[in-house]
Parts: sequence; structure tokens; C-alpha cells
Amino acid sequence: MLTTADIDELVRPDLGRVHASVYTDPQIFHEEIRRIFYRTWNYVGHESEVAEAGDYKTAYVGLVPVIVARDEDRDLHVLVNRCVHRGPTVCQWESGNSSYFRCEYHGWTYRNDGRLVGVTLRNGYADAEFEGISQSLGRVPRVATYRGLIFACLDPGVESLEENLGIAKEYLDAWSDQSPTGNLVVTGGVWKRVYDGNWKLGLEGSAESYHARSLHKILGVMTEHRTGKPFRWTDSAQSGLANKDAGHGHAIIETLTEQTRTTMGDSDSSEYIAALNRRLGEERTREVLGRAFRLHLFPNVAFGPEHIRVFRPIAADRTEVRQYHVALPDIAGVTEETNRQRVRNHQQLYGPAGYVGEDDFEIFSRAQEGLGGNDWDQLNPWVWFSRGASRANRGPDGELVTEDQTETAQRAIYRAWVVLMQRGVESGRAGTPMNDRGVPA
Amino acid sequence: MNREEAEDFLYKEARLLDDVALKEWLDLASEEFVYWIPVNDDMSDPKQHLSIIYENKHELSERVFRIVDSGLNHAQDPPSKTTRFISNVEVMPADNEEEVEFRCNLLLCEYRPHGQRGHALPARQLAARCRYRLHKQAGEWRMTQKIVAFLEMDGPLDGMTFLV
Repeated sequence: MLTTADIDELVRPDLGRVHASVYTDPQIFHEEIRRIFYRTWNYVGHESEVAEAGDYKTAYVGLVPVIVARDEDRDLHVLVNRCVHRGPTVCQWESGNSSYFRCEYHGWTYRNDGRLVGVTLRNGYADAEFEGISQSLGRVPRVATYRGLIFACLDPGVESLEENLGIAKEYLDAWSDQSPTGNLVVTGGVWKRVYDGNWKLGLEGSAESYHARSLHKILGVMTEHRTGKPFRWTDSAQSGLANKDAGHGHAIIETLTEQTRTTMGDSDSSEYIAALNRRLGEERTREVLGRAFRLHLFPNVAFGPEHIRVFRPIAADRTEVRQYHVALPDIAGVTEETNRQRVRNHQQLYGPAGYVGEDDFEIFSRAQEGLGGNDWDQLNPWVWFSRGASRANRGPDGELVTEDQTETAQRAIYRAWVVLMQRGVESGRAGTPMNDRGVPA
Repeated sequence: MNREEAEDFLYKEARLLDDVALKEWLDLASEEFVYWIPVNDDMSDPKQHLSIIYENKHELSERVFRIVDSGLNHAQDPPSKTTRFISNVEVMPADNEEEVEFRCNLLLCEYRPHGQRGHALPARQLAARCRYRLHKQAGEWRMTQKIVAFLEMDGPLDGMTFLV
């Protein structure tokens, strides 16, 4: 059991020091699942993936497999994908449309709102034998959406989603306002990747500009190769842009390196920009297209202009990433060309052959390997996130702000990590006792 | 082109790729060449859907520059070794003698030797169904289209920053 003192010794977010065992210890991983993934909001999908009555998609909250389902009344449910009888998953597909989910082991059947509606040979159960069996698939108690993004939390007492998101909301607004309707669409493919590393390594790398100039130096070299002109990376002081700790573990980097997207590459974007102007006005349109940023929301999702990246912890040293393409809604004569360019932008950087993403995964597995020897206590055990720690200012909403290319976003992760891990200690261990008739209390 | 000639072409291409003779491999492509490696679904529209690669000859030449000349292909440090097996070659009926379409199956075995972790990482085997289109230019067959549809295109895929 991790005590309060253990947690304070392992992680010092103010100084930017994290003990290497936080990445490698299976017991710490298990406590993270219980205290973080089961106590705060997890991203589980986008409303465009379950747009019609009967649509569903499967996802995870920590280690819990769930079904995000829209019922016939169009209400959203996040259901535990586990038959209440003996435990098999009742839905095997990534997405689809169905009014029912059936466990194929003994034929128990559920409506897409979770209700148990069919039990094979029900009349063969004596009443006492059926007492206490749940009449519904497990139900994730808190489900909320923001700008089409669906979040779920297993803790009924969690703060509201909007309170949790805080100043990240205005960035999610700008992200969604890329669409001429205000609603983006998750369609056009998904990258799936499992890497040999801790889940936090992926989150730490998602909103960071500091590593771009070394790990992704290829982007500058390719630009030089294509244009024949020298490419200059801006340094922190020159860029004039900011890294922000948005609270609750969320963070934002506003960066120059991707601002080329404001020209939408080589495609004709005039119809698209005109459509944005009609909805948003010219000033807001300039802000939406010109404000290049990366955003991560603790603990399991990050956003780029054309993607949603979802992390799923599997073990201390193993993580799955699914990176979904995000398109503009299909509006004839307005969005086809821009959508083509979005696909090109996205796949040039990411996927198994991308110019950026595979180098990130390579580094995450190298980090896990490098940190594996931390049981040797003569070795300095600390991983350092101190860049910019002594120079943070407060923004208008009280958020911590530093110049670009600091480790503010990474310290944000560990501020939330400490808060949630400490709160888990107070709440004690979760459990479901039952009475002497076998009925859960 | 008959099956034996198609096999000769495929074996030569496989040898150049396994030898990382990528500039010579590029010479097998016509100026109109399109190389497509779909992800998720090989019935998708590559203009509206992600692809692992959907590139023309110029873009592929940039990729070759990255792999061979840039020194910055970190996910290939150390680089993979590959061995390709080609089978199930079928040549489609053609309208004229200047164009041909054929299919084959590919088993691509890949291994990154010399890594510190190498002893723990087995070679991986990737199976694919491939489709080729070639046309004859100045007496030489050149690729106009190559499609590699991996069996695991919808599954978790590790890096392919070597040239498939």
C-alpha cells in the first residue's frame, strides 16, 4: 500500500522530479489505475462515432472494457462490457449498430441501454438463487460531453466535467471551431499501436515542444531538402509563445512549429475559410486557424489539429495508443479539398511510416528500458522535469504559464498525479461486501 | 507479361528492398507511380482516409532521402534487416502488351539486430496481399501502381520506417 509519505517522496511536481519507479513498479501502476483512472474523467469517444440510435463503440476506462451506446431514445450510456452472470464480454466489435448485446456463453441478453431483458431458462432459477444478480450491465455512473467529446468517470462524486476541464475548454472550443458547423467528425481512419512503455511517457510527449528540435529534427531537414532554404528552429525566448498548466493535469503548448497549417498546405482553402468567416466572423476565424496548439487532458487523451490520441494503460511497461483522424463535416464545395489536405498532413507525420510518430514510440520504449535498472540504489533515481520550474508566471485564470519549450506540461501531469494518488489513500480500498445470502450490500 | 516474367520482376524488387538499394528500387517506378499501403481498410478512399503510405515517386524519393541520407531515422537506429518471400503470383488478362496487372502474396520478415534489447525481441512476420500495375517504357517494365494490403492493417502495427 502506497502511503502519503511514499507519494510525497516519489514525486515533487514543484521541482520537477519524478522517481523512476513511478514508471516501472507494477504496484504503483495498479494504484494509478484505482486512484487516477477510476476517480477522474476519462475520454471514451466522440459523439460523431455514435451519431444514430443503436450506434455503439467499445472503449476502456482504465482496465475496464466499456461500451459507449446510444439507445433508441438517443440517450448515451457507458456500460461495462461484462455479462453480470459469469463475466464474458457481451460486445466483440470496435463499433457497430445494435439494439441488443448478448452474452453468447449462456444467452443472457441486454438492451442497448444496459437492461437485462433475457435470461435463458429463467424459470429454472429458484427466487433465492436469482436474488442479488444485477438487472443491468454495469453502468459508468458519470457521463458528460463537451463539444462532442464524450467523457466517463467511475466515481459518482467527481467534480463536473466543465469544472474539471477549466481553461482547457477554450482550446477545445477553438479546436471544434475548425469546423464550419462547429462540429468535427471522427472519421477517416485510426492508427493503433502498442508500445513497450509506461502510459505517462506517451502523455508527457504529447504536449511538448522541447523535444521537437532534436527528436524531430527531420522536419527541419526535410523542409530544407524541399525548399533549398535554411530552416531555423525558434528558441524559447524568441517564440513568444506559451506553455500552460491548465489544472487537473491538463496542459497546453502554443507553438510556432505547426503554424504553416494556417495556409492549409498547398490546397485551395478559400471556400472553407469563407464558410468559417460566415459562422465565426473574421477575427475569430483568424484566431481559430492561427492559434496553433497541442493539448493533453489528464489522464488519457491528447489533441492535435487533425487527431485525437487516446492512451490505454495495459501494464506498467505496456500502453496502447489509438490515434483517430478528425475530419471536417462533408459540405459539398466547401470541405473536400481541406479534408484531403488534413489527411495528408496527418499521415505524413503519424502512423507506422510517419515522419514523427514512430520516433516518439521508439523513445518511449528506450526510456522504459533505461529506467528499468532503478532498483540499484546507488543510481540517481530521478527523472527531471525542471525546465522552467523556477520561472513560471500566473495567467489571467491563475494558471501557471512559462515560455515555450519548457516542461510545464509535464509538471502539470504530476501535480494532478499527486492530488489523485493522495486522495486515493484517504478513501481506502474499494470493495463490495455481501450479506450472508450472497446479496451485495 | 507471363507469370515467369512477373516473378522475375517481383524477385528483383524484393532483392533491392532487402538490400536497401532504395535508389535502384526507385528506378523501377515510372513517373506516374503511386504507392499505397492502406490502414484499417483496403477499400477506403486514400484521399479521404489515412494510409500508411499513399505517395507518388517524388514523395517516395524524399522518403528514400530520409532513410538513406538524413541520419535522422531514429526508429531505424539500429536499422531493420528484412527478408521477403513472394508467392501466389497471378497475372491478370491484359488488353495490350504494354501494360500488365498482377497480384502476389508477400511474407515480410523484419528484425532489428545489434540492439541492446535485441535478444528479447523476436523477428516479426508481416503477411500481405499485393497488387501491381506496370507499363512498358522504352522496352523496360516500370511500376505505375503498387498496393500492399497487410493482413494486420486494422490491428496494432509497429513501425515501418524502413521501406516496405
